[in-house]
Order: sequence, then C-alpha cells, then structure tokens
Amino acid sequence: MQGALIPVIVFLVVYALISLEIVNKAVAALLGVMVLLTLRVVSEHQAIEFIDFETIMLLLGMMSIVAILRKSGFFTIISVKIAELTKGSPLKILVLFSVVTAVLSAFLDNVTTVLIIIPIVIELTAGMGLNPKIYVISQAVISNIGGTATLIGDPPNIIIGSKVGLTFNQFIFNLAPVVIPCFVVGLLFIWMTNRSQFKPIDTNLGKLFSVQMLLAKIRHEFLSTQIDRVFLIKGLSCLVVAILLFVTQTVTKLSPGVVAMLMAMILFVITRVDVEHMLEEIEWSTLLFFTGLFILVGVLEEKGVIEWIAHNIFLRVGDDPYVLVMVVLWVSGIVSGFLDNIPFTITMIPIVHLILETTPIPNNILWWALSLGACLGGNFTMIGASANIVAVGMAKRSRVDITFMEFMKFSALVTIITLLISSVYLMLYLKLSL
Amino acid sequence: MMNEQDRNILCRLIRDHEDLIGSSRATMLALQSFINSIEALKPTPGQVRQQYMELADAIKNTRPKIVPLIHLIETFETEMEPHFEGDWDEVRVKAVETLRGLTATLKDKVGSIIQWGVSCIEDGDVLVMHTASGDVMNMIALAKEVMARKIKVIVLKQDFLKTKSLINALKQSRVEVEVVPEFSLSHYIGQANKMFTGALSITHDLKAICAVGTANIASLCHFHKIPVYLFANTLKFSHGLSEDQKIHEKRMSQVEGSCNYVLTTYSHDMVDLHMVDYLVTEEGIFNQDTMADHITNICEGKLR
Repeated sequence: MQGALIPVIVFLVVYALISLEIVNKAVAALLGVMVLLTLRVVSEHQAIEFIDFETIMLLLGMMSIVAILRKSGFFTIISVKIAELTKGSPLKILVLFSVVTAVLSAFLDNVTTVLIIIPIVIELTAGMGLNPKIYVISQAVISNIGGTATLIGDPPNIIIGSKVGLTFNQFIFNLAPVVIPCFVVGLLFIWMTNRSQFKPIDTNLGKLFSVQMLLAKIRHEFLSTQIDRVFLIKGLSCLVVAILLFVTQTVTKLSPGVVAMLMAMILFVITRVDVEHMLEEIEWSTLLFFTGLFILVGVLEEKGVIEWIAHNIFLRVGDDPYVLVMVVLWVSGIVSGFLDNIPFTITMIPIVHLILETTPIPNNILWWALSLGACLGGNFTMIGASANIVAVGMAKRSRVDITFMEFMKFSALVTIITLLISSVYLMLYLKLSL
Repeated sequence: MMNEQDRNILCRLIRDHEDLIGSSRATMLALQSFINSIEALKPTPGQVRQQYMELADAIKNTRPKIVPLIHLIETFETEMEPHFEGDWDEVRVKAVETLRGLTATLKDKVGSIIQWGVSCIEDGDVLVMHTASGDVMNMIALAKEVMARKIKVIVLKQDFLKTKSLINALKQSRVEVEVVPEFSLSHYIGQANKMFTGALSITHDLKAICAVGTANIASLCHFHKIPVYLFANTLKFSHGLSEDQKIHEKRMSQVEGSCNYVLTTYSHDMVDLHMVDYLVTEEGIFNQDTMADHITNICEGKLR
C-alpha cells in the first residue's frame, strides 16, 4: 500500500464533499483528480485508462435518446393518458402511475421518470384535495425499485454491467424475478399503511364532477404543446431497436454502450434535431462525475487500497458464501441509503472482484447482491437516490413540503421489506446454485 | 357529501377553466363533466336529490359567477325536479338527456355568434387581442381558414398560460401574429383597426365582466377610436348588478428584494359598456345606440 495515503485522503475528502453537498458532485470528483495529477500520484495517461468508457457511452447514449423522446411529447401523452385512465380514483392513481413509473424506470433513468411523472401526480392529487406527499414519495420509491430490474434502469446497474461485462438479458432474467415481488409488496405496503387515503369517490357526485374538470385542465395544460408525430415515431423506433439490440447482445456482440451511442447518433441524423439545443439537455455534470470517480477509484485500486479493504473488512466475515452475499447486500443497502450509491458501487466493484477470487460464488449472485443493495438501498432516505432528491424538490416547488423524516418514516420500511425479499431470493438462488 | 374543501376545489377549477378557455367553452366542459360524473356515479339510495342539489348549489356559487352555466343549471334543476324521486337509472337517463339538450342549446348560440362575428372581420384587419375567448378564436379560425381573410392579430402578452394558449390557437389557424407586452399597446394604435374581446357576463347595469386587463385595453382603444367588439351570447346576460358577480379577490404576500408588500389581484375586470362600440350576440350586432335596449330587454325577459 505504498503511496496510498494521499489518494485515500483525497478520496475521503471528495466523498465528504459529495455526501455533505458542499460543492457540485462533478466538481468535487474532478477536483480530487486534479489534486492527484498535480501531486503526480497518477499520470494523465494512467488517469485516462481508468475511465470506463463503456459506462460513459451507455449513459450518454441513453440520455440523448431520452432527451429527443422528451422533446417529442411522448412522455406527456403517456402521463395524461394514465391520469385519464385513473378517473380520479385514489387507488387507481397509486397503482397505474406506479406501474408506469416502474416500467419507465426500468428502461429510462429514474430521474427522467420522476421528472415526467411527479408534476402530473401532484397536479392530479392536489387538485382533488388529496395529500400529494404519499403519492410523491411512493413514485420516487417505485422508480428506484423499477430501475433495479434492468441493466439500463439505474446507474449502479449500468456501472456493474459495464465493468463486469454482464448483459442486458442477464440483468433482466436475474433481477426481474425479485423486483416484481418487491414492487407488488411495496405497493401493498403503501396501500395498507394509508388505506384511508385511497377510498373510492364514485359515490360522491361533487368529487366526480371536480375530477372531470381537473382532468380537462390537465389535458389542456399538459397537451397544449403540439405533439410531433414523425419525431415521436422516429424516437420510439430507435428506443425499441436499442432495446432489441440490448436483448440480442450475445448474438450481435455489440456492447450496450455502443448500441446506445449508435442509436442516439442515428436519431440525431434522422430527426435533424437542433443538436446544440439537444446537447444542452444532456446531464454533463453526471458524466463528468462518473469520469472523476472512475479515476479516483482506479488510483485506489492501483495503490492496493481496495485489496486492503476487501481483505480486512469483507473477507473478515469468513468465506461462507451465504454470509458474504448477505453482507454485500445489506452493507450496500444501508450505505446507499445515506451516501451516494454511484461512488459506492464504483468502489465496491473491485472489492467484489477480490472476494470472488478467494470465494467463488456461482451465477454472479454476489453481483446481483451488490446491484439489489445499491439500487434498493437508495430508498432508505431522501438523499439515498437522485430520484428521491428530484421528486422532493419538485414537490417543494409545488408547495408540498416533504421533510427528511416524513420521507424516511415511509421509505425506510419499504427498503427493509424489499431488502428482506431480496435476501430470501438470493439465499434460495444460492442454495439452488451450490 | 360536499364539504367546504370540495366546494373550494370545484370553484377554483371552474374559475381556472374560464380563465384559460373562456366562459362558453368552460360551460360546455362543465356540462360534459356533469354528464360523465352522472354516468360514473354509484349513489347511495335516497341521496340522489341531495347530491344533485349540492353540486348545483356549488356551481351556482362560484367566484366569479359563471353566468351562462348558472342559467343552464337552473334550467336543469327545473326540468329534473319532477324526476328525482324515480328509479336511479331513470334519473340518470333523464339527467344526461337534459344536459345534452342544454349543451346543444349553448352550441347553437355559440354557432350563431360565430356567424355574426365572422361578418365583422374584413381583409386587411389588424386586430388587438389579449385573451383566448373560445368564441372569438373560432370566428377567427373560420375567417382565416374558410373565408381566407387576410388578417393580423396583435397579441398583448400577459399571464403566460393565457398568452401561450392564444398564440397556439392563432398559429394553428395560420394567422399572422405579433406579440407585444400589454403595456406597449400605444405603439400599435396607428396600425390596429379593431379590438376583439369576449366576456364572462353582461350585467343589468350595463357592465361587462371580462378577463383581467380588458378594461385598460378597451379604454385605450376606445379613446383612440379603435372600435371595440364585445362577443357574448345572451346566456351571459345577467339580471344582477356588476357588484354582485363575486369577482374573485386574492391577496398575496410578496417579497421582492428587501420590499415586502401585500398584492391584491382580481380574477376579472369590470368594463363599462360605454367603452364598447359593438356588442355581438347570437341575435345580431348592436351598436352604442341599440345595445342598452337589447341588454335590458333580455335581462328583463329573464326576470319575468
């Protein structure tokens, strides 16, 4: 571990800056990299080699496709149609929006999903005189659960998939069977604990009338911009082709990053969209944040710090695969609830590699434990996942204040339930695999 | 049953619609919403009359009063009164049928007013507008798309949602649009030759309850001899006085820089009909000399 002191200090300072939100996440990570470069702890060429361009390409490609689809009005149509389908029934609002949120989160990033769903959910519930808090929190929580199901659903999965070489199909086949029960039980829990809020309204003429007026208002407000059908068809076609190429990855041998970037570029060309304008929609700070973190963790790995953590913390628990899987799942779950799950996942990947070197665990079960822990754990607190922060921020702008404790009182229980379901699933999976 | 919160929500929703799409379209929307909610209702036996009455009462007491809707709901109540004690399915069928009939009545009136309105639009007209009244938008669309009139509209920008709605509607009809701030109208006095506006209601004391900003714009146009056209079907005529129209008043604390103050806003303007040069109803076009008699006759007819 020679020469590890400076990178460790820099990494801890960067982690503190990110967790305490003292400076922008990307600035914190890149500042850390610059300190390491200035002190010659790492050379420019080495730093570049640490960046996982597969992850960056996948993120950039998906962000571009989503930006173009958003411009087409597609997501607005979906959310308005869902609002109409609910007919103002509080239970239908919860269930239908949750289904859409979970499905969208599985194929788009969670923040985009929340940005699409939350405004209309607030408009609908507040307009009906319901308490929007429970709906806002539930959609944030559900988006994190839904995003866990696929390779492209949540940043930790994108990182794990790219760094470990797991395919889209492997993610969906191994995680969807546990995500679906998590989603159903999560919804049941929300309904059971707030039953009084989901009473039907079809016996009250006044409420039915208000709902009809409200739906008309929502239609007018959200659909007043013209829907570009050609744009919409091209955007959706490219998304479908991208998903098909993800699914057939083992046949085409095209990595998800290449697929996403290829479809994004094709979409730019065929839609003749204003590229400069579209590029403004890309979350460059997130991409720079990832880049900086890859370099910081790469340096720690090179200096032997990761190996030290793996041997002195994780492997201390022994070599029982059941214990190791549970430790990775629950440590990831709890840490991701309080710290950003992206740097945590990037840090954990080399650790899990080292654990697997000493204790091989079949069927990538340890990776699924990391994925489930990092993604579902984000629900523990308001700051555990970007989708939570964005949802609460949007609610605040609509004068719906959700406190840290209000969020946690509800979300922590859902997290514990989903982590318990994941534990059972992983245990059974491991038992069948050994 | 409707509680105070439900009433406030309903009142706000009706007001928002009226504000965004004008009173005729808001009335049609309310009638359609009434039909949809009756079709979805699963009432507790014995509560049908009470539920209808509560809703009708809430609709009649919105702030401001949506006069055409009130007139139609009063007709609905009169027609439904003998049927409330019947079987729920019969009540529902009758209620839906009555509401559909009332919608048709309103559509007829709006259709006639559009026909009269189109005759007020000529080639080369430069119109001043600041709110998307449904009737006015329909007549402009007809004049442009069917009759190929060459017109330009100067849109006075105010509340973003309303202006957006107006611009989108005009662009859809391919009308040439120039958007200027509401306070910059004086620069267009030489160019504009007509001002078009709609109204929520016209009262017995010869006032029109119009969208906010109308009073200032109509005054300036009238002063500069730009004829002001007011489009309102006779369902909007109220036998009440302007001060009884319950214009919604809102007080909000504002903080700008170091300055704290309470801002009072109103949902609508009261426009003296002396500022209006032409009143267009489904019964024709009335100028300054004839409009007062027309209003009085209609209002007194309703009183009787």
